[in-house]
Amino acid sequence: MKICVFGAGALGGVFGGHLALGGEDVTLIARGANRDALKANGLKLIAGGNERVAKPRISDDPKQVGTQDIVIVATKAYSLPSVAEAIGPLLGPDTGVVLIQNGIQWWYFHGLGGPHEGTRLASVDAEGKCEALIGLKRTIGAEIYCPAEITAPGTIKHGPGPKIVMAEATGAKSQRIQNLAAAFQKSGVTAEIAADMRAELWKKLLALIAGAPVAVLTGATAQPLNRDEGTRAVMSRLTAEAIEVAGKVGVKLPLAALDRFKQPAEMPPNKVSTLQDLERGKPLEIDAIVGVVAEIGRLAGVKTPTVDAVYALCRMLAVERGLYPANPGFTLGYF
Amino acid sequence: MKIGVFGAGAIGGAAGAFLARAGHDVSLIARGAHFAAMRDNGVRIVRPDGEFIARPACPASPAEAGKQDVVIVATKAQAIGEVAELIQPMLRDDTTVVVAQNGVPFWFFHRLGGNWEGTRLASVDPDGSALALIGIERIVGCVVLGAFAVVAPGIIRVSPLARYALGEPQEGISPRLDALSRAFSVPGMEAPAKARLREDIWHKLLGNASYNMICALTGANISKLATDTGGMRLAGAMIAEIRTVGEAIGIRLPDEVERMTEGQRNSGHKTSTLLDLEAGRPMEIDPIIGAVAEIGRMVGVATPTVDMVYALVRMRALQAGCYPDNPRFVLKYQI
Repeated sequence: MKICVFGAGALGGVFGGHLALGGEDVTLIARGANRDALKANGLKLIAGGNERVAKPRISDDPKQVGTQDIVIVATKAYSLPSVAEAIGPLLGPDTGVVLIQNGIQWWYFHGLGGPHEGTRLASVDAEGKCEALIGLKRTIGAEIYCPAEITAPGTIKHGPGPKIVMAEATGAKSQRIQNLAAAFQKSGVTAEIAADMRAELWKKLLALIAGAPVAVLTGATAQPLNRDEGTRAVMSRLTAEAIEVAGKVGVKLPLAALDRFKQPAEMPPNKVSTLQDLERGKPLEIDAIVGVVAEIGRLAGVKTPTVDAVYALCRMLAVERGLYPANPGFTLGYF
Repeated sequence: MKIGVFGAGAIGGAAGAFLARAGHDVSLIARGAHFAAMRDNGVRIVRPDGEFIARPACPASPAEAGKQDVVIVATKAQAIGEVAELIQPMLRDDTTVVVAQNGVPFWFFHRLGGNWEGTRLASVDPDGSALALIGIERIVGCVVLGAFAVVAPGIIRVSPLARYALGEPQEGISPRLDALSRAFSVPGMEAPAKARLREDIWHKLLGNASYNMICALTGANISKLATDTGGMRLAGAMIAEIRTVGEAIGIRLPDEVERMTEGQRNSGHKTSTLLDLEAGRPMEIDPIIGAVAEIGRMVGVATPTVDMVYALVRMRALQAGCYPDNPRFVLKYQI
């Protein structure tokens, strides 16, 4: 398969690198020092002491890469509308576009039916660029699971067992998604075709909405946040509000997700990626993770006071640090 | 009048300078470079309409200062237990102790009458030592309004408004209060006697417990907060809870009293809690917002928004080393 990975950061590199090692025709779109290192030395993947070098094609110009069978977009959620423009030359009518962005994705209310059918989420696709330029039929929703970091240009260290859970946004059991799953499996990536991709998006969102904004606001790792009764209470309320919102838009999540906040929990001293972004001066992914829950809450008539408050705080913090990605099309309305 | 100022930072130092300039026999007790500069060069007060230098005494210790007619305590509120011990050499039986601190003062439920008479606030005076050592009969409450900042050692910038409102714990205008108000009403400094100072305390608390904490969490100054819809919604929700708690203990404030003035909105002022965080100094959290939550529990008023912000700002302060690791006040959250 002709597969292009747009956004060759740590995650794009892990998944693109595996596919290249598995024999697929992979092109990575990369820029700057990263592109130069990849061109000169290939893509080095380090996992559990093993080192493998993948040799995907490298380009910084989608126009020269041409039409693909699959495009994997591995950028942050806030970049997606501008990426939708940039990947134009890679797309034919049948190209599958795999979106691995955290949070609720742009296509959530397309093909869902019910009272909100066709609703555009301003927090993730304010101007409708994803809808217009990628479109529902090309979109493959996905979540990926694999800790990874770039340790030097062209070198990525990652955890064991990269995994992708995906499904056509239309819900179709298409040939292309089965082919893609087979390509991943052959390349050492566990690939599952989700029966309900919307539920998968919410499941990952639950993990993020509990930990990420509270970590950003307090500067704390998972350890103190899960020991302290106060921050556990905040995380529990955020999770409970997200569960209630999800329940109103077709996804029933187990309330047992709240149990873990009832007692202090011992956690590894991990910093969530959003806190790492803050510390490295990178824009914060708050609209797609926190803002979107408040937006859908408004839509579904569910009050989300804790999500609203934490969203307001995170947004102010991000603006103050110059790390709020421009998203002028989204302004949360308040009751 | 012989007046000792314990904790002659910005607020205490300014009061000491105004009172000394007016002819009172003032002794300042403070620490560090600011104290050394005041001792060696006098206290320079800078106001929009000009500056002056006052030369109050700067004794090396409370013992050297000796017995006082009035002691103004202007330290951070969380230090009050320690401070109560340190000021002992300055106290006679009839010395008046003016407690000029933010938040809910430790004497708040004494000589009030009613259901809560004699309640000790764990968030302010956990072991009761402040009250025991100072004694309720010595205390005059004080609410400070204005903007005060130590801009360089020995140099204090003061806003045109510098009001030190005074009031008796048992309410009403006693002869002692009237005399103190007259003695403190000197050029540059207002010192009105208030029959019901608890209303002034609660009024100031509305802003301190909301705006200060939001600014500390986000890094925003007061002007940026004032123009942020989400941030002001959050502040509004907190203020409504603080008002309701106040009403449950008999404090009624006029409607709209919490509205920021034009001057506040345009000031670009950084709140003291944020300045403390940025400078790595202990932050005033428990006596301000923790006390609201504690009183809320006591009177059976739910304060979910206050609790949430308290949990976040407390964790932020812990991470920054601006909060004691083993605090003696533990709020019971309602998870």
